[in-house]
Amino acid sequence: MATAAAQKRASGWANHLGRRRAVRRLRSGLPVIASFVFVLIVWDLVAATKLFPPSAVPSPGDVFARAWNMIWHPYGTTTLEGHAAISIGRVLAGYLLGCVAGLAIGILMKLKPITRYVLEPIFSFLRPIPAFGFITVLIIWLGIGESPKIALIFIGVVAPMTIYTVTAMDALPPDLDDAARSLGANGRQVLLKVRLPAALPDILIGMRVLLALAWTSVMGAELIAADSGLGWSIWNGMRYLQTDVIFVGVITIAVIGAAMDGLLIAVTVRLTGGWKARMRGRE
Amino acid sequence: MMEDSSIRVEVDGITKTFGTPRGATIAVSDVSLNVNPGEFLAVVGPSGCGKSTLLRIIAGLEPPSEGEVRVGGERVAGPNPRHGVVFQRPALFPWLDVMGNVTFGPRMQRKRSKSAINESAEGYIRAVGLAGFEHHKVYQLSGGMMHRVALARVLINRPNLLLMDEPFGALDAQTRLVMQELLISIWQSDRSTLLFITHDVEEALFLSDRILVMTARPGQVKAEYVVDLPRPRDVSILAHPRFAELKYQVLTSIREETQRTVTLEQTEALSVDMP
Amino acid sequence: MFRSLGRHLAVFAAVILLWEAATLVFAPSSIALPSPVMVFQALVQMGQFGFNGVPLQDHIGITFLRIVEAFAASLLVGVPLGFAMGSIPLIRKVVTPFITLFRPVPPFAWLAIFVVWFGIGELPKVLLIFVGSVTIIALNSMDGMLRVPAEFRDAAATLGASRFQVFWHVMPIAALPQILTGARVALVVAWTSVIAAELVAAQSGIGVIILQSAGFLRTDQTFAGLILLSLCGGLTDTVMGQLQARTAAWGNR
Repeated sequence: MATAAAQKRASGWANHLGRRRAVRRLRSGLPVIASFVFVLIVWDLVAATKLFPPSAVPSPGDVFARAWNMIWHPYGTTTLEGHAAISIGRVLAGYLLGCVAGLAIGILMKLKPITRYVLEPIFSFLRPIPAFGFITVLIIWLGIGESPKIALIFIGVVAPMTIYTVTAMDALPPDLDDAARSLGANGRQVLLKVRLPAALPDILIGMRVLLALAWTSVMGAELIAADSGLGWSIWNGMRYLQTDVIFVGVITIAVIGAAMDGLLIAVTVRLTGGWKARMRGRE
Repeated sequence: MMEDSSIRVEVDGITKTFGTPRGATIAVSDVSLNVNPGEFLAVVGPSGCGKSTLLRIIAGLEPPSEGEVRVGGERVAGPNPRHGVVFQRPALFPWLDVMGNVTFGPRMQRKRSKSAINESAEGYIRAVGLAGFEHHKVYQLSGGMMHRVALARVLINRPNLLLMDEPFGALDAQTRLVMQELLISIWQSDRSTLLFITHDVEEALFLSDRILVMTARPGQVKAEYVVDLPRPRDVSILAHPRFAELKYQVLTSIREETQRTVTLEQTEALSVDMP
Repeated sequence: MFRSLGRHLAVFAAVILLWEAATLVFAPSSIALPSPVMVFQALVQMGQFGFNGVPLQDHIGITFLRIVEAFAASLLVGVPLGFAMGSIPLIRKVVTPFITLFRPVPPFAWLAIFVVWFGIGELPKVLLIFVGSVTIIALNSMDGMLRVPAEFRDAAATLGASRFQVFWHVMPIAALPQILTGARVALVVAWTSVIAAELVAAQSGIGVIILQSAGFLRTDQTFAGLILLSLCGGLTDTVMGQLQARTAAWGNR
């Protein structure tokens, strides 16, 4: 008698809450838009006061004009979209390969402790070295095509990804482990069917950090041995003191990076039901 | 040790509403009660019935949505070291040792000299049975010992009102008994006003002069039982025939409310929105 | 994660042996893959004669100096800022838009702007490290402060501490573990930033060794530099870890 009434109330609630959810999504986007406008206004004001010379701090208008120009006319070897596409390609290739490899190696290390025994010290030794320390060596090994750049990003992503995977899979609360084993799961099943799914949210959070790292790596790679890409544009702008070009490049990377990050959050929510996705990556 | 103090607590039509993403929750609804000077009042009820909220309002940690609380005739406007609060978890400051924790209150109030504070602290530490542990780090202590420090920390402020929110709930049964006896012996020597929240009916009967039973949420005062067991009390009171009678009466009263709480929780689980 | 020294040494010994064997068996050009012996020799040689006319310890020293300066500055600015953001909603609302918007920008990119503005002296490098670290520290300080269990605040208040006293005596210590977590991450970012900065615009530093040696095809020196980098970075991280371990008990309960 109580439950029937409760169920009726529940379905009424569900409709009401569904509408509220849509409104909430819209509302959660507002602060970002507001921040964007806020910063834009501050920027415009600062540029307008000519506190700094326009060659140092271009106004939003200058930057937009340059971006427009770069879309229709090549800067260097290609247009802005071209540079963006090239950089995105490099990032995606290195990042996805690195994540998959890192996940695989991490799982292997949990499955076969001997691999962990050997690989763990190696990874901890490599960890303090920023990926683009290897750029020169990679160029000697792989030439100056696309491979050293992608390899660089790969190296930068695979080591931390492995560590994230192992750490996350280690961190299962002992009650869950006990419960799984007393319900009949063997060691391998506990690893793959309990620890891995439980570790997924943390791994995905780490992947957001690694995405930012991948962009940093691609910028490093495009500094040394590239003639195209958003990173290359920024460094070229630096060489010729074209601050407006630098701003265009930085903003483009920021926008693309944010979009990819948002995509990753959406994937995380889809895969894990959202309970940890709302945590902002603290890097 | 503690000042001879008689302070009355008057709770007048207190209502507390919380706003949650799911809508407003009424934790406590139009509760009125008095605690007489020098009385030991126990408040029992099912979990979630708002007893902790009520205590927090009386302690001045939260404002009521409606109504007023007066302690010693004055309206409560905020926390007050003379109204000592002992929480469910000891909340000791882990970076201070026992001495540091116990002297914290007087040090913040800056009314006494350092040596006077230290001397006082040593006295209270001894009173709760922890002589010799003054310089231990608090995270090295057992659960029961931490609760003793929490008690000493509050007592050093010489409160005329003590508010305790299920302070022994996390302890095992044996330690709990020891702590109850400690509390009784300290309280019996100076009779400050004491409001004690618990879900353990035996504990309430052992310690208090009067028991109030609260309903399930939204919490209201449902029933009142005078604990006419003789004082001073010790463990042997558990065998008193009146003890069993009262226990049965109070338990039955709470049981109805507990059943209502279970139903309430089931209803809510059905309508939860997962973002 | 076992941290037994024996295990680490055993694995490294095995790696070095395999590496040496690989160079002997496959005999790649010593430029592509220098043998461990060559790398060690390069390290010793740089210790004696320096690199590019600058003594090795100066290279190491100046890299450390850049990090220390920038890191200290980011603590001095970041922790109070984080606390302010944690306690005063207005400040949080004003600062957060900037952080939200600039977060997707790789810190490295700021280097380009800093170099244009400030040339290739010390300032752009230190500033780059600062910019990367200060946001992390500020956010973690704010977080640490917000996450102080309410019981600590309530207990302090009911024991007679004023709001200011709670803020001064209780919050910073209770928030310390989270602050240290942020500091440790910021330190890693700092190392990345300093090497990046040295790649772009420096005459000395560990990053300079790594970059320029390859230009002279002296990969043995490059590897030596990378190993140095790992040791130095690992050292600072271990120190932070020790600091964290000693204060870990302060945040909870």
